[in-house]
Amino acid sequence: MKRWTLAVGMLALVLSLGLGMARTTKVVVAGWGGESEIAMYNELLKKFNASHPNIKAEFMHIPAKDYWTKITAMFAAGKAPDLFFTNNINFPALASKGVAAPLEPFIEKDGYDTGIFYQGILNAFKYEGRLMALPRDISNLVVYYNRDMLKEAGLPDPDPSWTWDDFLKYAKALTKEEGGKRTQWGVSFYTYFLFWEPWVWSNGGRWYSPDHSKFMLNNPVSVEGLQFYVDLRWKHHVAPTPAEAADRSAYSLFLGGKTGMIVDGRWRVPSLKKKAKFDWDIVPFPNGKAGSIVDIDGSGWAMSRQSRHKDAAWEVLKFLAGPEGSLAFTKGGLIIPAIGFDPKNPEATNAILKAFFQPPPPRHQQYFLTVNKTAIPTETFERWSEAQNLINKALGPVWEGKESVKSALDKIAPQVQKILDEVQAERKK
Amino acid sequence: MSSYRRFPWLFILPSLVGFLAFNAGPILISLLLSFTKWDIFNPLSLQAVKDSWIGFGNFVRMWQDPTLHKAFWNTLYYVLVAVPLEIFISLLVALGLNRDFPGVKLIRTLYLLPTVTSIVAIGLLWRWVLNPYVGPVNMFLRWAGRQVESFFTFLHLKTPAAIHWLASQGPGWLSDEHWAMPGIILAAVWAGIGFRMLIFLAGLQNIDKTYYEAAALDGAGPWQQFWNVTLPLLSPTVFLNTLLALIGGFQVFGLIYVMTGGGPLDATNVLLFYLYQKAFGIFPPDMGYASAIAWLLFAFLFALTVVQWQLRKRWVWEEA
Amino acid sequence: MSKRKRRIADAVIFAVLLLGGLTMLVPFLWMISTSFKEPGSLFDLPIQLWPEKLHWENYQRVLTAVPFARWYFNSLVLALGLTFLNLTSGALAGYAFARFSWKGKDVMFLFSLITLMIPAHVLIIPLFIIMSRLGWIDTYYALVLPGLFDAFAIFLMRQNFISLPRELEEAALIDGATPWQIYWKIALPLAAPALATLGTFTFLGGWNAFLWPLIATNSIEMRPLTVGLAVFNTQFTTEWTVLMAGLSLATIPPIIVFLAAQKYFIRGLTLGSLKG
Repeated sequence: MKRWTLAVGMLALVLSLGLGMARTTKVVVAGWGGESEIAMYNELLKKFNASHPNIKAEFMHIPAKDYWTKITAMFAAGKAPDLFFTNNINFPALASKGVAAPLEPFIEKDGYDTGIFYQGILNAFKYEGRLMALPRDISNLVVYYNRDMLKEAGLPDPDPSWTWDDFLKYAKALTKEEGGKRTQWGVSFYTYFLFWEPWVWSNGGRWYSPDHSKFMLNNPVSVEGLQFYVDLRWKHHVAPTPAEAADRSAYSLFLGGKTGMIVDGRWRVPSLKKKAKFDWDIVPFPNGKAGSIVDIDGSGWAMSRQSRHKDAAWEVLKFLAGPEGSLAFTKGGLIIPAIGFDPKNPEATNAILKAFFQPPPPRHQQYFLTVNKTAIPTETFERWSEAQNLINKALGPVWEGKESVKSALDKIAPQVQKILDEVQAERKK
Repeated sequence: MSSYRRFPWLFILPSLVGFLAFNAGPILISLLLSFTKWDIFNPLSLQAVKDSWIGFGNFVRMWQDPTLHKAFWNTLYYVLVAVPLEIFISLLVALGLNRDFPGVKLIRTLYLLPTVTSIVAIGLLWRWVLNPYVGPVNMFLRWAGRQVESFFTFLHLKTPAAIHWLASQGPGWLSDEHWAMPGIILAAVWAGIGFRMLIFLAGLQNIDKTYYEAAALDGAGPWQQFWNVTLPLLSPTVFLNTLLALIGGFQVFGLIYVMTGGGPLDATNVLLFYLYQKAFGIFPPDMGYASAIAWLLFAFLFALTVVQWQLRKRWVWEEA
Repeated sequence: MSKRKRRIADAVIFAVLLLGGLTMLVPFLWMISTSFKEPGSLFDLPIQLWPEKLHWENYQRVLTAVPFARWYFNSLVLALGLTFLNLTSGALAGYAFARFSWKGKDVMFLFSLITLMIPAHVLIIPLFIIMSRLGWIDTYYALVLPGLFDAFAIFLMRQNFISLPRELEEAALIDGATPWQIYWKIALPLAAPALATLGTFTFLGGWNAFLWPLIATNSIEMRPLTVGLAVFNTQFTTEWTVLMAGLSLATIPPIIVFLAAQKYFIRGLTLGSLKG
């Protein structure tokens, strides 16, 4: 009697489990974002689940600042989410650990066309020639400028062909002095690497050799570019010093009408639209010796190798990165979509562009897209973040005007080179 | 009463279960990890530990790591300055608040507000307070410097360089390599006074009033009362507070994280901050090295505690 | 003369203490004032101590845009659960270390102290792995159960029981009471002040916990306030005003606990002082 009930119970259990598995496969998508982005994810995945009865996709939100702590913990426990959002900067470190599954098998099986994405951002997600993630968005930099201020100084709107000299001329004309005290500056000054690497690249410099075997940020060309940037603050005094900024952020100085220009990203548009009390527009980064080269970084979703439902995860991935997902996130207003054009689906792509081109300002929104032609990704590699820590630390006194770029970078060059050598050795293995 | 001479299963059991289930494991694992260069993306298993075993590699690396050495000296600097300051000031505050006057409860509560205020708000506000150019601390220092300067001018004397520096510039605090740690210490001591004060207050209230009466009868003034009654009777509390402050000082983290991020040029990089960077700040994390640093920190704390424990009989009144 | 001198000295001391105390108020007030500033205001310097106009919409936003009530509840479960476990197991073990003796007692005590000296940062990932093997990630178990053992609680309670007078317990022993009865009926009631002190510290610790709850929860619904509010701290910007509205509301329970425990507090720690 007892044994009989047990057997029936077991059978029922096995059946229900089996049926349950046949019915739905759970796919977990991890990502960061504010509450509006959480809502976008939930809505998108609801739509996906409705059209894919066998798959149940779920969004796992992780706060942005602690995202990688949580993700690495999940990997360490062997419980990684099936898909996870990532930027291209941390990506080589991830990919080199074999954390992400290469997407080529799925792309080939499906005949999926990756040509719909901008090539620059696809390259940023390749590791050893294999694509490891589908991109969602692009971040690049342009120059925002205060049109009212330019008008007051008698300056015309800058042209995309403008040069570093023009930039300096503008910055000088926008700097005002009253009673020996500067009250207005030409340009806001960021010290975060994203904002100064265009000065290195556009001068023809690099951080590292293309194969990451050699440290090149202390080469004369790189140093010259970066020194030009530092000189804006300490030689020409057209950017506020820390004393003058008095702990106000670079962006708040621009927003408050204290600086005439700022090199910044697309994410500033919603805030400027809402709060700027002046007319403003954008223009590409000025041309140096090597042209106008800003960074094209971005983020997208990778599939974890630990995932046990890769086929289902691929379906979710395609949906999120595809036109429907892209449209939803573009409507959110913070991003530049990674999808350029889909010849098979022109209507969908046009819808994305329409969503991106919201009413001005800025009048010249197309520059957010045109700068992608010359932009290059941050020169990241497996142990980039370690090297970055060293460089950041060394540049501290440079931003304070206490040391030259050359001497600061020369000092840490051997340490960075040592990391690079170790990376080379690791790769050979 | 002699103690019960047996193992009190019932009393120990909950803690023992908790220790074995949630503490012993992680401690053991972190000890094992300190001998590895575990790749955190490789799910943890005995095999993973074996594969990444490097023996004393991490400890050898610590020996040669200049940043770690700097972090170590910074930690010592912090502990040696902040802990005595914190103990001394909070003792003074506790003595002041250990009496009955209108509003004393309110003032006591004020001193505890930093423990419920967001540490981010505290850190950011202190950054402003210590801002070399617009912060109130330097504004005051410059004002004071100018007063002294004009005094010297009035006497037709040459102003000393230090005074002139104070009047025209003042310390760079968090942006200056030499002033950043003093700045952190200022903020940390300020934020820590309340908690320590409370512990002292408790000790003070426990002192039998009759001792003071007896001392007063013998003609002892306030200072003598303090030296001969208060301090000896309070010494067990001083001991407890000092031990807790030392353990806390070696693990200082929050304000440094918010205020300086260990900079400038590692001037405020302390052991726990360095460990945090290795475990969560860089990508990919270096758990093996972070664990090794944790065990180094442990070794110091442990040695320090043992020494304190041994020394207490010399100066802690009731232990003698 | 001497009396007058004394009174002046008292007034000076009072003024200095009040001034010091008022500085403690500033960040707290700043947190609250920021929560009333115009949404999107930059948490910027030079600081503006009080907004020109009170903006209640920050509170509206934090209460409606996110599951604030649920997070609050989770934080209460976490803090109260930890406190309960901590007090129960800490008092029991503290009593054992104070009144019993057995072989290996010192080693056990040493082991428990060691846990205070290893930075939690390196224990969190191993603990996460253990919890996920147990299948407890994203449950209250994972949040609360680690509080079952706490060396600080044991230490504090041990010192407290040691310093309690033994006469009462001895009399009860002669009357034939079991150790359990003595603990429950005599020692524990006497330890009420110490329990209040320990409870407040543990509550505060649980209420402010961030890293472990972040790692131990997966779903938005299981988060405590500290982790939940991090949603306003996004990749591009931080919504300081809304964040501070949430944090200001979050200070209410600790203040209530603190005020409620204050009368025990002061006496409690006394008994906790080290008499070894």
